[in-house]
Order: sequence, then structure tokens, then C-alpha cells
Amino acid sequence: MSYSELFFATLPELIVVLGMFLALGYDYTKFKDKDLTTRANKAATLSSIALLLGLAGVIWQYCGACCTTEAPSTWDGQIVLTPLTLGFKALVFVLALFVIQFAKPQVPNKHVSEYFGLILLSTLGMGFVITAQNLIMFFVALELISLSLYGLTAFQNRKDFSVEAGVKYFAIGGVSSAFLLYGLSYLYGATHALNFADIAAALQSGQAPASYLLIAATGIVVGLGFKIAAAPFHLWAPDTYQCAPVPVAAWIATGSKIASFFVLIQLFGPVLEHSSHRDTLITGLVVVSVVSMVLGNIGALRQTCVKRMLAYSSVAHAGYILIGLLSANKEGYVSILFYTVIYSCATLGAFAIIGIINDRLGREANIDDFNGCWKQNPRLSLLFMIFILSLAGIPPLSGFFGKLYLFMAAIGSQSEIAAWNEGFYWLIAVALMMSAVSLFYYVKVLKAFLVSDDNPTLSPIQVGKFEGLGLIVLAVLVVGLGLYPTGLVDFIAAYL
Amino acid sequence: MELTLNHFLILSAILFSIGLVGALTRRHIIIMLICLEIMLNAANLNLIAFWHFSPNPELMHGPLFTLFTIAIAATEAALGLALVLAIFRHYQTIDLEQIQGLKE
Repeated sequence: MSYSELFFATLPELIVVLGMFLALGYDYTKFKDKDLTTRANKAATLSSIALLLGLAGVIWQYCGACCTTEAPSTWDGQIVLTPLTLGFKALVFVLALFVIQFAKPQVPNKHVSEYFGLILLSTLGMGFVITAQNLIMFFVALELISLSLYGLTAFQNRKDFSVEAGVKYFAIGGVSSAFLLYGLSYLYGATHALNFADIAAALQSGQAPASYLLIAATGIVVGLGFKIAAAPFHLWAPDTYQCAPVPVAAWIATGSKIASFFVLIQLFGPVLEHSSHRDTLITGLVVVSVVSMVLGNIGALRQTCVKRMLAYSSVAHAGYILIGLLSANKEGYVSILFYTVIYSCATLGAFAIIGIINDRLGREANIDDFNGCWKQNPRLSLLFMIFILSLAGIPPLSGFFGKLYLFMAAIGSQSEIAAWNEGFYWLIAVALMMSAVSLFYYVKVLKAFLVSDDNPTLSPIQVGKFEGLGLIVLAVLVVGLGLYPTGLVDFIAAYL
Repeated sequence: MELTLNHFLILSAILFSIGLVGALTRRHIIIMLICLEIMLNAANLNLIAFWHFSPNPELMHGPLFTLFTIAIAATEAALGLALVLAIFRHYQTIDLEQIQGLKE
């Protein structure tokens, strides 16, 4: 290991950190006396430039500079740069760029540069989680994400409930981190290794004590189940999504989920494949998945606040995605990653539009507030329709193909079916029924947007050009991945 | 009596349970923070014990991991205390019973 190698491997992150300090420094010196809007614009611009340069660094790494496809040997797997990890890191950076653009017009309080700084720090954490192949690096990076997000959730500290939601998120998150660490300590105890490759090898040799692995798997499921908001660990989600600033809620729902699922398949997959308690683990996961789908979809039905509804819907989506993990083969993992990508694009877009509307209303939007939005803001409504229909899984859009791949992988994982409860047919039946339930509340929002036109509350909204660009890119991704899903699926499958 | 790995594992399991019960039942944020620390330290104890009884203790994996988690526990406590301050400024109390404003 040489320092220049390390320097080039972490170049994008270094650039982003530098940009963050520049934004902080300028905000506290040169722009100190300017008004809030100017400071927010300057800080957001600096952060965006840093992220763009970081993205350029990732692309430069991708083009052969540091990228390897063979198994990691350097640095004990602390930073592993394969085309897949670099691709996902680039995706996280792009999404963070959009989040910053959406956050720019609605800074919650006067600490603007800290706000963007924390968003950048959580982005770095996500990038490191994705590239980490080592328990230490993975845990540190995951905590970097969590701690930044706790702070961001409580950022509207002048408003009621915001700090309370932050404390709730922090308390439940702290307990789940402790569970995760406890599970990781048992994983280390069972395999005597920290590197994911060595862990997988030790698991494959079958010498790891099965009881340790059971505790390890439980800890990992509880810890990461919290991060992906799977029921019964989802209690923080509705309050946090409702009370956090909208871009932060969007970021919790997208970026941290991408990172968590990425590491979940790498950590939990090998344990599931080689454990002698496989049936117990599968039963546990099935329970988590079914409970998530049912509680998420039923809970979303009776919400009037749109952000709470999206929170419950994200619980339901975590349930769908776990079906891919149950198949415990490569197809399932590919479908999980594919689904997280399209889910993130659609969710970020939907949250961004809700944020724009909240900003205009000056309060949290209820579903009724969207009445007649179509007449006043046709383009915004069209984009919102694309995102919501993709979340609902309507065929030409990518959400449908995401679910299709997940369910096909689960069915294909067991070729011989003897009894009705073997294979995952009944689980997929539940998932399909719950998708039908989910249509109800998604369409309810769309109905408010498109059909109801009695006394529209919203006048036409001017969307900033970068925000608009971000929304259009997300919509193009959602539609494009629906029309041509094989490109991304092949890419993930080739390098996983 | 000789100390074996299981003794340490049982001790850490007891510590973890104490922390978990405390974190879930206590309504005082500071006590909750202390309980979180106990849970993290139970995991640290595990790591050190597994390392001590592992076939390859010369790799120093356990102590390394523990050092990092101690640092993380400290940052978590710092952030928790910052939230306590914010809560106190807003509600003039840090008793969670009295500030339950969110439904469900």
C-alpha cells in the first residue's frame, strides 16, 4: 500500500470534503453579513461544484485509473473500487446533487452551510459504505450517514416536533446501531475475519459455529432493518419523514436506503447461503417482509399528510425488496439493486415536488391541497404522475419491471415445488395483493392532482431551472429504465 | 476456575440486555444515552473477547474495531447531548413523557 494509491482511491471524497470546508469557511467569513437567500445560494453552489468535481473524480476512476474487477487484496477491503461500486457511488453523488438543488430554496434556519455540509457528509458516508468490503469501514461509514441524518432531521429547530422527531430517530437509530454492532461482533467471532471476502470464505468452509451466525444474522437484520425502514423497525419513519425538512426526508428515503441494501446483500447474503439455520433465517425474513408490506400499505391508506403517506409506502417498498433477498442467489441480489435505483429516483422526484408545493403553501401539504393542480401546473403534475405511477408499479414505467425482477428471482430460486407453502408463491401472492392495495392511495393523490378541480389552492408555481432540470433527469431515468431495463440489469449482473 | 470465551459472552449478553431494557423503558434522554453506551460497550467486550480467544490474535482485528467503535460511541453521545440541548431550549424540559407531541 502506498500513499499515492490511497490518495487516488479517495480522490472524489477528498474533493467533496474540501468543498464542504470551503463552503463553511466562506459562509462564516465573506458572506457572514449577507441575507439568508444569498448565503444559501452560495453554499449550495459551492457544495454542488464540489460534488460535480467529485463525480468527475469517480468517472476518472471508472475509466481505468483505480478500477479493479478481481477480488480485493489491497487494504484489507477497506476501499474496493469495482465498476459496480463506482457506478453506485456516482449514482449517490448525482442524487445528492439533486437533493442540494431541491434544498436550496428552503433552508430551515440560519445555519445554511452546516445544512449543506451535513448533506455532503452523509453523501460521503454512503459512498464509503458502498465501496467498503470490511466490517470496520462499513460500520464507521454507516454511522457517518446516521449521525449526519440525525442532525439534519432536527434541523428545523424553531418548529414544533422537528427536534422531537430528531430525538426519536436518534433513540431508535442508536439502539439499532448497537444491535448491528453486536451482530457484527458475533460475525467476527464466528469467522475471525473483518474482510468480507475472508468472511465469505470462512462461511463457505462451514467451520463457523451456527449459533454465533444466528445471533449475527439477527443483529444485522435488526440493525439494517431500521436503516431500510422495514417493519417492525419502522416506527421512526412516519414521524421523521413528516417533521424533517423535505429534502432531508427524501435523502433518508433514497440515499441511505441504497447504501443499506448494497451492504445488506453483501453481508447477509453469504450468511444466508451457508448457514445451517437457513430455514430459521428465511422464516424470520419472510415475517419481516410480509409485516412490512401489510403495515406499510395499510398504514398509508389512512394518511392525509402526503409525506407520511410516502413514509408508509417506503416501508412497504422495503418489504418488496426483501423478497429479493429471500431468493438468496445472484438474480435476487441484482433485482434488489435494480429496484433500489429506480425506487430512489421515483421517491426523490416525488419528494422534490412535494417540497416545492410545501414551500409554496408554507406548511405541510395534505392530499386535498393538490386539488386542481393539473390546470395550474401541468408540467409539475405530469412529472408527479410519472413518479407516483412508477412507485405504484404501472407497466410502462420502471417500477413495474423492478417488481417483476424481484418476484421472478424469488420464484426462480426454488425449482422443485412439492407443497403449497414451498417456494415463495404465497409470499408473492401477498405482495401482489398489497400492490393492488397500494394503488388505492397512490391513485388518490393522483386524483387530487388531475381530476378534482374545485377551488384550487395552488397558483402557478415557478420552478428554479436547476430544480426543474433535476426533476426532468429523474423522470427520464424512471421512464427510460422502464423502456430499457436490461442495460442497467446487465451492468449490475456483470460486476456483482 | 478458568475464564473461557463463554463467560465473556454471557457477561456481554447481560450488559446488552440491561442497556436494551433501559433504552426502551426509560423516558429520560440522558439515561437513554447511557443505556446506548452500555449496549455499544457490550459489543466492544464481545469483540475483544473474540479476538483474545481467536486463532490469529496477532492480526489485532478486535482491538482495531473496538477503537473505532469507541470513537463512534463518543460522537453518538455528543450528538445526543446536542439534541438534549435543542429539546431543552424548545420545551424547557427533557422528560420525553411531557413532550410527546407526535401522534402514534
